Amino acid sequence: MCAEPLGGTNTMLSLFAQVAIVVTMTGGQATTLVSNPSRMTQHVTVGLFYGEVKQQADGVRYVELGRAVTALVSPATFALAPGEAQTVRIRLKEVISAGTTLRLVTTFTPASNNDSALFNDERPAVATMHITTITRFISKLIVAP
Amino acid sequence: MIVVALLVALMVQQPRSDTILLSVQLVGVRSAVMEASLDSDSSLSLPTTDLSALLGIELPRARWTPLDVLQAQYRSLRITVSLRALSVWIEDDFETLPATRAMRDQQRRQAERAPVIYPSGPSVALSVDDRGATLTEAGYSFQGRAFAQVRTGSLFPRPASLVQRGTTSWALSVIPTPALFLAYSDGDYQRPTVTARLSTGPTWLSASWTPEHYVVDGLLTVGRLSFFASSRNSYSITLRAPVAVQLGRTGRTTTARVSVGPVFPSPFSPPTIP
Repeated sequence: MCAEPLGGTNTMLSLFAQVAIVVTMTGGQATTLVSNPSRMTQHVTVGLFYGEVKQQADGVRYVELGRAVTALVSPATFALAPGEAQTVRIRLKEVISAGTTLRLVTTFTPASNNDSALFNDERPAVATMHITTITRFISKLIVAP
Repeated sequence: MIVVALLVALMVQQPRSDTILLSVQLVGVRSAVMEASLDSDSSLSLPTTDLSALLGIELPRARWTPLDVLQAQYRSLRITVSLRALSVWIEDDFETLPATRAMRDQQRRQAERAPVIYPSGPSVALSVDDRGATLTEAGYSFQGRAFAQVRTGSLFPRPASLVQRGTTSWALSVIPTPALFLAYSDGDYQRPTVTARLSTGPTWLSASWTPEHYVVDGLLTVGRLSFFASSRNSYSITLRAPVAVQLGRTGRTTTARVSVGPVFPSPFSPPTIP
């Protein structure tokens, strides 16, 4: 799913998640907020990567992620019930020069329906198909002095 | 025994699970982001070195200090943890921690004989009374750092007098930093006066000068002890403790005061018996 930034705001919002579009890191530390405005529990993973913007032949630009940045992301994985929000703090563990733009990758995976009572062992076996929509946001993380 | 129990509790290293980044705030004083340990039983431990620096206390030597150990050692602290907000709030309403006391003492020194901080902008006021006296005040405050004021009117009306003479006074105050305050005032029927107040670190100085006389007061705080001296021939030593002791001399009278309770004696004024 591609999430477009909301005009005039500093957050990216889809039906399933909300994260900051740009995060500024000062003194090697940054803080951001991840929230879940959807109606289902989301499993969230957060990671920090190098990345650069590239352009396809048709002019569409995209972000290509590089290696993971050595950093403490706290928490890196967590679950968010509907309406909940989680503060995420990041502390660099490697030296990165000021002005560098890193990519904060936040991935939302809806909680499996297998957890629900509809899919317990007592239900007669029927052919089912599950479609899981995973939402991934790639935010800018700007390293400030 | 309690100390031994605390030492034993801290010596037993708990199995670490997750390292999380927490903002630990000593509410109203200062805060720090620490790499904390969240154990499998959801107990939270903070790095002892960082915690000691934040609170200004000595903790038993161990890499981690569990929050419940800190709470047991300082029962009056109110500790609130929010893992969603990744924050720990430590409220020290009774000023049991040295860091809180140091901050509060600093605030008291800066507030003592401090000027009223006016919001930025101009101000005008007109007052009249039923004797026909009037007073007009006009002032301007620049970002609360500089303040000029002019007062004019028949400030001292004398009903028996055929002529009510007007009077004007003015004052200029500057507060370049919270530590320093300077003021000059002058006007009709009053002497020019210079006032200054400096509060930096453990030192507090206040002085006022007119062509006829001057007054200088000073205070130095070292730990729980405060030493006060004034050119008005008054001195005091104040010990800030659960049982507060104050010894002062004003003129030829020496007074001692012992007090218990949450209201500590002001180190800026020697004890007196009216």
